[in-house]
Amino acid sequence: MHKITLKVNGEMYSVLVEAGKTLVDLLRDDLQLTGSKKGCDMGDCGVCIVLVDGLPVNSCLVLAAEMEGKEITTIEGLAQNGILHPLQQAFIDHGAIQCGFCTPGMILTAKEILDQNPNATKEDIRSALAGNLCRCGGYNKIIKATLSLINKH
Amino acid sequence: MGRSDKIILVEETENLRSIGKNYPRFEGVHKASGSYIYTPDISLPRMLYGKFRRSDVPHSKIVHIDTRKAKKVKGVVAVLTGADLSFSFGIYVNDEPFLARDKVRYMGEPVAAVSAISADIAAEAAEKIVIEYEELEPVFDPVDAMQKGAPLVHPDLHEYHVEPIFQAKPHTNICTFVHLEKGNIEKGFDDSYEIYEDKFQSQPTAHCPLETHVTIAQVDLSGKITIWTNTQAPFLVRRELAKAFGLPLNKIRVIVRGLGGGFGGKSYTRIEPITVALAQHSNNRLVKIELTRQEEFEITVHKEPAKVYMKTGVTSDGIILARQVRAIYDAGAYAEGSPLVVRNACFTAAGPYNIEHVLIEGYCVYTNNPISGPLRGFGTPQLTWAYESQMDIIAHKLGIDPLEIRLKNCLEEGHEMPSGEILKSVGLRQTLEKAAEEIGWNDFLPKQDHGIGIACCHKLSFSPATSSAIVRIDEDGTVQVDCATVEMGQGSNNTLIQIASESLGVPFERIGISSPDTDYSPYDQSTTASRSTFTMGNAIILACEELKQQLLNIASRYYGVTSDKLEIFDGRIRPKDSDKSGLTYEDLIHQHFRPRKASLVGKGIYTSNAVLADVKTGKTPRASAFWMYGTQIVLLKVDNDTGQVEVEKVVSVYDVGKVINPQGVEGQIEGGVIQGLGDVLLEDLIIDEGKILNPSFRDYHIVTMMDAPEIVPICVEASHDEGPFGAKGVGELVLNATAPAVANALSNAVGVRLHDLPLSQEKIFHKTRKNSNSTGATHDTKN
Amino acid sequence: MIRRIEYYRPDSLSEALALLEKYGEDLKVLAGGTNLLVQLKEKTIHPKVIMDIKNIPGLSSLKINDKGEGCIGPLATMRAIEHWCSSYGRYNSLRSAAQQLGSPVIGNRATVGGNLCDGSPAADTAIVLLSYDTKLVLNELGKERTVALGDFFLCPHRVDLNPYEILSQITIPQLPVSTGEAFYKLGRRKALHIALVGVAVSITRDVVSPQKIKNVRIALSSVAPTPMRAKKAEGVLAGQEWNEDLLEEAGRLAADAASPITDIRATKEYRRAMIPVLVRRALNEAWNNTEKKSGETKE
Repeated sequence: MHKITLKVNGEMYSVLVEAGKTLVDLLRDDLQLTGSKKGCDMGDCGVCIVLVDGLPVNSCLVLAAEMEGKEITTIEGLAQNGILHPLQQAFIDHGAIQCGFCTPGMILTAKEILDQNPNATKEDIRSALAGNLCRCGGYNKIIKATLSLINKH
Repeated sequence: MGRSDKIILVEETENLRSIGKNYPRFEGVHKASGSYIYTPDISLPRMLYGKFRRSDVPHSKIVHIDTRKAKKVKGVVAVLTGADLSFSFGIYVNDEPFLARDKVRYMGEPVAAVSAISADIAAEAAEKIVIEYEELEPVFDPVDAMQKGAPLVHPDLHEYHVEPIFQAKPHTNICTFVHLEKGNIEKGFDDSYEIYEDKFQSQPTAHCPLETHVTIAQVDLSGKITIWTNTQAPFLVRRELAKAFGLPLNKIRVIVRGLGGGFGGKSYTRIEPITVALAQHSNNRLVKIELTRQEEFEITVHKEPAKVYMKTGVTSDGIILARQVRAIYDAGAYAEGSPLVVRNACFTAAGPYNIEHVLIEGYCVYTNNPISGPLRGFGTPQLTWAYESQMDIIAHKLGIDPLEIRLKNCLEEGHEMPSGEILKSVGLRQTLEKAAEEIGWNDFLPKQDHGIGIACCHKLSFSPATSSAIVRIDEDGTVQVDCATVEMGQGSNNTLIQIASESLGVPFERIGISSPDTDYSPYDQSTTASRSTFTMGNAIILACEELKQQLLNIASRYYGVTSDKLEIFDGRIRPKDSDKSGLTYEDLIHQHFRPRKASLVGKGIYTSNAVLADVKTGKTPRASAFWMYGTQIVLLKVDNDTGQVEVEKVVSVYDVGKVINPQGVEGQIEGGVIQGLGDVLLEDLIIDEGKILNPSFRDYHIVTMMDAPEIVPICVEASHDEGPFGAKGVGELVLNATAPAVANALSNAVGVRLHDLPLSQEKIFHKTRKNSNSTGATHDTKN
Repeated sequence: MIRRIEYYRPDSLSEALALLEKYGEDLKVLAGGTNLLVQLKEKTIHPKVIMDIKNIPGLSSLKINDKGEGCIGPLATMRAIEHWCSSYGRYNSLRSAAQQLGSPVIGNRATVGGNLCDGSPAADTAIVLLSYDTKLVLNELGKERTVALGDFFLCPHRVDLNPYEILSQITIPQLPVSTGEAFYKLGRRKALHIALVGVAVSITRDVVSPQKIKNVRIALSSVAPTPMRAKKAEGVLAGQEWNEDLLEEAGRLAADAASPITDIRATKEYRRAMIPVLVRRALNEAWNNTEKKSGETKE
């Protein structure tokens, strides 16, 4: 067992984790943050993506033990004071959510693009989201939702 | 460009309050914020985890299973094998044991199951089970499996219960066959100017919902079974469990949260029975089974691979006189939904064309491959692939424009189908014309290495079938809809709320809708076959009508006039010709119950209007309550050196009847195109000697963001007089046309015709290479 | 969860080398984890100990040394490499390989050292680094050696790294003036794919007679047991006047040198047929890039 201290959605946690536990399991099972999904457990689909120190990462390909001192944002940490993050609202407004299983990973990945590059183009967004599968096939609406925030800048 | 991603309605929305308007997705805030609870997110006190031990042979006798080592693993609660469970399930053919019993019929089949305090312990214990097999001769090709003397996957087929709408052939591997005839096929061919014969093949493809199958089962001491499961068909699962365990229906409760995608793969019973059995043997503790992605590929169903032989006789000017279709579907080791898939798909097999002489034969065949089942389109994409590919072959040979030959033959109102059904509400011609207009078909000249292709399609819905709904108006005038339609991304929540809103005159925002729970929700057949808008929509309208009658009665007492002197407008009731604002529903409920508080309840039960076909002849005056039609046009570019295809634009036009929820319909149409592109270019579940070689997202390739083309979704609204506000359905047909439209565009671009899906870049490369090496490339040659 | 492993996170290289000394074959080094965790979950490897080297200072650095060489820390992620190459305007094909490895999210974790040490015949960065004259620095307790990348790959998923060694630095030369590069990766879709065939080329124009090829390196992935150089193909090009016929010949020789296999992704025939196509395209693109570059230097 390893004792790690990490910050999740602004709150400090000290947890004991087994060496082989992945971050997605820590979040879902131990911290009960089930907004991060598990779709393949092999880094091929992107539904478990969370932000680690601001960068989107497949949480199924990271050991919890590696997260000592890290700052993690999950989908649950995006809304502030009961108000949805503009991206969350844009996804709703543009019909970019269907079954919703890819949505948390999509929104977090898209958030990082917007944070890094307020002038991101459609192509930038497409390639940044290349690792997020959406089986409902809502890609065009997801791009549109993300772009809608860029055009506002 | 600017119009992509925007639905174009052919008819203007009339004076309707909610129908045809966009509202934020009912459950959108929850999904956007991560608080939406899917079945895998559920964790309950005293819950154990179940894991399988699965076969690594395709067809073998089980000689011996030694579970002793598994039972000794610390943390293990129960270890089950087929010998412990005498039940079988299977809604159409009762052929599937909970765990393989006596023999295994496919590679990956669950042979034993373990419950333990953690999933890892259960998995480790399962690995310790020792199984001794004795090999049986397997059969993998459905055509081989149909031959006399082929190894029988189910020697006891004659003893199984087979639903009476299907014909099985005992002592063979044919678990269903369909025969449908119209006119005189021989005469039709005799009269034909030219006859074309082709064979087409569709590969197995996987549903790949991002959420895998998950079931949690609780068996309490009273014997009541409660399951949380991500099924599209809660009442069907309940019925199957009741039948298998010999329990009355009220002893089984099925609770369904929204699904993380279904696509038909969650239409029938899968892991529910074994999860319940494990819970029964686990000291009253709950058991959760959550499939891994690999298990999702290996033990849930995939789309039936199919071989379709198509013979078509035409006149010199391209009128189809006769068409013979022989379709062989590989059901895999167990029937699951495939018998109905084959039966229903066969009604569509001749294509959306008015043909005088038709002969359709369909076979659903057992093999030792992993189980097939329905995938979006329910057996019709395999046929659309064949009939629309051949349509272009014929057009090319006769020198007729592909659009023109379709317009010459396309189905219209009043035409007679092979089943004998006379059609109504047919918007096919409009979809062809609209798609052609959008792209500028007549003047379109593809650039070098570019191609344009068209394909159209049709599909019926599962009917007759029943949906029911309860609609409640609470004391403050807000409304709650209770029904068992499963929201799985398709947007049924919004659509059904909009129907209630329109019906009652209550704003969308003041209406809620519940998710299915068989203890509370009224009966529904299933959320499949694009049937919910039509059938559940009608049930909700009936419930609303009943409510309105109750409200009118209350108002009638209040105003002292008979209810025919009253009118309902905008969520209020007032005497006709009155200029008063009238009473709100809230006022009326208050009037009725005062001084107490209470709600009004309306119920609606709707059975779609159709007649079950004669099992032998397939004849019926009405095979389906409604039919859907669509056309797609694809623009693509081919890299001649590598065979890579880049689809640049897809115009996708569907006749779905009145559009209720435009954003939802857009989502369906765009998603159908994306899935269709995967179907035609990328997806291929490679099954070699019964073994799936690519059971992962790494090796089974679905379309990514980077592969998505521009999509123009368009709706033609051929109103249906029985549909809710004229609506039909949308979810399934939307991918059918993509594959043949791509193939036709490919042929247009580089002159190669491929008959077997998928059109991988490698196949295209070899084929173009072969063509240019022989006679020099000629466009659209036959394979 | 991955069962029965221990996790160590040394704070220094010497600590890491001591752990390697102690556990040897039972230890696997955890860099980005994008491969290692998959292998652990799929149970294709069974180490007892996982050593996370991300806490060792300096292993992810990216810099240009006094000699103008690029010094890449093995822990540099694809994302970091992409940014570094972009900001320096150098090593364009390394940038594009880093961009195309898996997906950008994978690239946030995946490291160049991991990509090399995994020894996959399909490794994207491996062929780019082969198209440069890349050297690796390997350390074990009390020892250090340098190995040319061309000698590093032994067979599929086996590299010249003994159980006690760790890759500590990757050195790439400063590319000569008038050098152009290209990286081509053929896949079945546009993202999240493993190369069916990959080609990386670096080509240098003769400064005196600019239509002459001074030097060229061609590397291929997914067509042999290891990432490979197509040296015969390079041989027919070096010192020659640039012309299209030479490209055909180079493509043919590269294909001859390859020994592709058939797997679920592609047949060997297709792979072999794609080599000349990609080699030609990559050479053309790289050659055109030299023009741009030499144009720039003139100004």
